[in-house]
Amino acid sequence: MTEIEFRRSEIESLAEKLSQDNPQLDDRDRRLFLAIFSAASQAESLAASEPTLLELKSQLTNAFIPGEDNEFIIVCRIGVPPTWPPPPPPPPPHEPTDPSPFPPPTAPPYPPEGSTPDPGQE
Amino acid sequence: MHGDNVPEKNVSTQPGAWPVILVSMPFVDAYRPSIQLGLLKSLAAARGFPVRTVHAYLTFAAKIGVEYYQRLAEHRGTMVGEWLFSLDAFGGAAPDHDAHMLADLADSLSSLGTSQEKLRTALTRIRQEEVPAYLDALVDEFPWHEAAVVGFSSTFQQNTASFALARRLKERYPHIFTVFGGANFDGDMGPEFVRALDCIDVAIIGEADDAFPRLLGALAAGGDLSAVPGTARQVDGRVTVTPPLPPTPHLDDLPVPDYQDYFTLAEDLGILRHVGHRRIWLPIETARGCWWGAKHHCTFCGLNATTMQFRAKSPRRVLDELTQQARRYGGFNFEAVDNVLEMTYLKDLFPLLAEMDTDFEFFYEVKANLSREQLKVMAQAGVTHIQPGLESLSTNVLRLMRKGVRAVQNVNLLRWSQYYGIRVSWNLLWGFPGETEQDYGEQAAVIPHLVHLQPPESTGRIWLERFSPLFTGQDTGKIRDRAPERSYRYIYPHDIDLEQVAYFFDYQAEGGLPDDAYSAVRAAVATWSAVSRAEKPPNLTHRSAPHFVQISDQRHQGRDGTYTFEGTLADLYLACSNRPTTAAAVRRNLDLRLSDEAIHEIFQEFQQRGLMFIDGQFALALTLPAVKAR
Repeated sequence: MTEIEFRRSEIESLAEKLSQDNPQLDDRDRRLFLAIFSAASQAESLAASEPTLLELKSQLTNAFIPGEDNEFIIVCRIGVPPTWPPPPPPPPPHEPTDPSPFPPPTAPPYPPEGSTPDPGQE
Repeated sequence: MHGDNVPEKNVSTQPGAWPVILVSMPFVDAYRPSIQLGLLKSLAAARGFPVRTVHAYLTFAAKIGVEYYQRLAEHRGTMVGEWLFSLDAFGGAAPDHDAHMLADLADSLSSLGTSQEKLRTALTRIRQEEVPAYLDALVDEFPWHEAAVVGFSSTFQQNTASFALARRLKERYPHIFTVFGGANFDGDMGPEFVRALDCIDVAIIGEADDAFPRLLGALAAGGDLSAVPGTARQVDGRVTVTPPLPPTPHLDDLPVPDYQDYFTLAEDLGILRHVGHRRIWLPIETARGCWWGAKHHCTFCGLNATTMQFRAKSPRRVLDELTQQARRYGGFNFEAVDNVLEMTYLKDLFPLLAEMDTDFEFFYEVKANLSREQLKVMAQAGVTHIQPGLESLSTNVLRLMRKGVRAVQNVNLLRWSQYYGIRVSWNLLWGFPGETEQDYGEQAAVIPHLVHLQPPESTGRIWLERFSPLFTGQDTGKIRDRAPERSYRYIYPHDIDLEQVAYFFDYQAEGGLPDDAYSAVRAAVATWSAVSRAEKPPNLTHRSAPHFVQISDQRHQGRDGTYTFEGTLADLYLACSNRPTTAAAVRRNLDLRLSDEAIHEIFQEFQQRGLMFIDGQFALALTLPAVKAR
């Protein structure tokens, strides 16, 4: 089948037409209809891959690794082949000599407001 | 001369027989030539008048020491510069011969001296010894007798020094015709000074490009000044004001300012020894007025008193002027005196400069809602320093001052300016009628997240300026107890109406907050400034690949770390990087099934970690790309 690109809005429009008593499908509708079904299995797997809000929050919670040394984090993530003798342990956590004068962040300072226009350009 | 104002000694009708000397007195920046003098010299010279300019502030700076002079010139608030010359300007009529101002306003003068006693000693000596000696030498050593007309340009704190010199010149050379102009003579101020002071023959009210050459022409033609537009003078003991012409419409028609006399004098005095020609930022005017103010005048802004209408030079003309001035003075740094950037320059002038591979550097005042792409174009053209008038990190306060931007746009400007290497000069202001304690609590809470960006240069209560909407216009009902700023009464004689001549005013805002409402934000900014000057300033950067972002957070020593986001989480974060956006827009762009509410909740999670700035429904990533300036 020829590949066809489509938007979510088109699918929604199609669904709307199909939901009517006497659907009038034109040629593009029919092609879309076929394409949707042929891509159904792939779409299903894509949908399954989009995380939920809870999963995203969980990822966020685990996303932070303290310390100054980025390289150490990268090595941890991609893994390294085992070596002998084993590498020395990572340095102890950084001891601040002059800790930040700001307190750790707490509650969000800007609670969301009501609907506002796009800032855009004046 | 006060009376019919018509000079009698010089009867020639030839412009060449009417030598003109233009003077700029203390206090203005010693490291800048006066664009007012430079432009008026070119305008008058084009009509055939022999013109010299005297940047007399240089002589005073050399006399009292350039460093201390600069501190006085940069001081705002209390009019200490005006006070220093007031005895010589007004003689016996001057108030405060005993220097009570120094004690009464000591707090506001503390930045000028290490202790109150040392400050008192230094300023009293300058006032009683250095100033009279300076004025005597200035009158003695310059060939004023050759001049038929002496013109004074006065802005900021240049009034009393100008009056003091004019008074001495009138005493010694009665034939000299004196002309005053500049921002300090706009509106009601000029006519009141003309009424009260014998040393002023004519004041030009508003733009002088046309009025000043016409005035010289009228003098040369026999002294009929009644047809010269935009002037104030005394006729038969009464002040007569002639209606002004419309503001100069075509700036391309103006000549290029002549700064040669500045460089000659500055070199003679050794003032350029420390900085060199190339470090002088040459003033350039590419536009006048304010396109934003013409639509929505910011409530506190007193600029552009009678000339708000926006006008700009063509890109070709600007390029020609830059090239000409660079060749003349060997300088490549230009300080635009414009109140706001002409936005079309982003599409024509700046790309042209970038394409030509010029090495100019520019300072510009801009409106804060510039995008990443626009700041990139500016940086490529050589804009290295901007003053965007950010004023606040609270959208509510910005709305009260009619700034036309949101806080999130201000933060975005700080981000991309930093990324493209553009220095940002800005202040965090308060004291706006209608503001709340919450506005300042929220700013204090968010500032620790912004310390990797450029801090404000100062904080403080807004000044009430003449010509601002708060002073005159739709917002006057929001203030009470308005009175000329306190130091004026220590400067001007009692018969000068301070209501007419003051530019700054004290006031109370209706429903205003007490000073301690600003304590937290003041302290947060102080810390922000301190950490930004540290050996290792705070840093918040990201590196990204498709569906992957790694953020290095080094803003708070002892809490450094790295965030790693993948997949949708990375996509959500990066979608808010270029400009502020909403959850709904992000959902559409990424074609997500998550609800807008869920996406906004994730934005709030980012915010809690100090990685995003949320302003209403708009969200903005706070990181900067680790890879420089793409």
